[in-house]
Amino acid sequence: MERTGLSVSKNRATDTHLNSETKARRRFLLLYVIFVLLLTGLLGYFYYRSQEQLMFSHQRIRMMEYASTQARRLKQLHRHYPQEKRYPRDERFESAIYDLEYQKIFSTLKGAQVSLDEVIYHSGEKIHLVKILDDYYLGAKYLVIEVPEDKTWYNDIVHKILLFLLPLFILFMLLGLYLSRLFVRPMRNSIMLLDRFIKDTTHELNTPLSAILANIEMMDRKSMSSTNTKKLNRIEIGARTVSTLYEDLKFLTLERGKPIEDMHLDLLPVIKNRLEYFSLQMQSKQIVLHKELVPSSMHADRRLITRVIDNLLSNAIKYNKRGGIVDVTLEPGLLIIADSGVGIPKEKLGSIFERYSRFSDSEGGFGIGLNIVKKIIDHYGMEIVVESKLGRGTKVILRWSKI
Amino acid sequence: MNQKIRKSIKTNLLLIFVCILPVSADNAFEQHCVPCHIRMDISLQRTFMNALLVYGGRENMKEGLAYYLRNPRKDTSVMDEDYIRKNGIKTPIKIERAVLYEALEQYWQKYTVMKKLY
Repeated sequence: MERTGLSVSKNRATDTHLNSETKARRRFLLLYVIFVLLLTGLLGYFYYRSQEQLMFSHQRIRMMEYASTQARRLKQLHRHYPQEKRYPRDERFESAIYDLEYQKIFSTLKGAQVSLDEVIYHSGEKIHLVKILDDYYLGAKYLVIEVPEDKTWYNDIVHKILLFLLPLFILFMLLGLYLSRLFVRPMRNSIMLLDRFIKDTTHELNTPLSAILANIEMMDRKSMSSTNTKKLNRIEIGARTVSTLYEDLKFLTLERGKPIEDMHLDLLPVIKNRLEYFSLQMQSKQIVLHKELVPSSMHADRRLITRVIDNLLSNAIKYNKRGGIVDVTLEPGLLIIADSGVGIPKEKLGSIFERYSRFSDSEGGFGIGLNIVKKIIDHYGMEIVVESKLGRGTKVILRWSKI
Repeated sequence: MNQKIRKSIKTNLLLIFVCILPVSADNAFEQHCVPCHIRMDISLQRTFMNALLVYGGRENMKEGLAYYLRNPRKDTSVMDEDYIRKNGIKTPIKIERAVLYEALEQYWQKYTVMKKLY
């Protein structure tokens, strides 16, 4: 079965950077939207307030006349009280009187809330004007005049705000999109440059690396002195380490879009082959290999599964201590690779699969190995569990459906 | 027999006490204000409306009138000049502060326009 839409092959180094760029752009746009909303909101608010003040100033003239009329009537009532006890009313407005202790003396108001500390204000659907009386007729210090609010000014304002602020908002958003592109362009160029560099470097690594490994293979070790054999082994270990890195980089860059060839894969020979490949590295660190291997199979691409095994074995050796142990268990539907190395700090366990995440600074590396592993096992719907104790070692458990 | 007399005395005392209590509380205004105003033919309603025009609220009026009644002066009187020219300024009142305030409260309650307008 062949598929080309594998997320692994598409996820080259630049994809992560480009994702970061998209994230940065999204964050910028989010902040920009908040800023623009705040700005247009404030503009709308101040415009509304200014129009409200304008409306109040128009109403105020009329309401002050009403207040003067009512004050004159209160004066008359004060003079003729208690013979006359009917509070003066006017069909043009409602009114109320309060004493200096804010106690209501009489009220015909319809508006629910009265605020004697303001001069003119809204109270529900009404407008209130508060006039302070010079003489306390009937004991009243505050005379409140109430008229119904004419809502036409409000509707006009809403229309004007929508007509003006909506295009302004759209204009700002377009400007924001343009700015976001402008800001991230240098970042995008750098990413593309880095991408090209990694791709070219990976490509250039192939020929010399192949030449080194091929020539090492061809050399006759039997005729060498033990010192030279040791030196050659060191060269071979170094070359194979670079080779693993090369394979990872190739997987991420050069093999992008390469078809996936899933097949019935017998894992036992694959594991044995990879253990043989890493045997020299294990020997150099005097690592003891414990293996319990029984035939196991899965439906997958050999190239991808080899990357998974290589990366897990490479880590188990790289982060192991000299004279440590590597345990490899293969059963149907299960692969366990455990080491007795430095272990992974608990706080870093959650991020070990992130690209460029390195859980120990004691060894080199790009931090791309486990990211590749995760991508591949996710693609095949396998389960991965990492158990680790600092100073004791790490165990990676892979599970998949038996076939 | 003795018990009956004692019981009768107790009942009578209790009745007298119950009757005296409200009378003495209500009497501050009637006792210390009304007689003079009647004698001098000065309308309490008019003085109240004049005081209301100057002092406004209940507490302010009580404080203002209490001060005036103890320290009456032409310039702090709520009455107009014609009245003062005709009747002069009253003599300072000399009753206990609590009684004075009680009388003023009763004065307010009796003449306030609150809840009387319609």
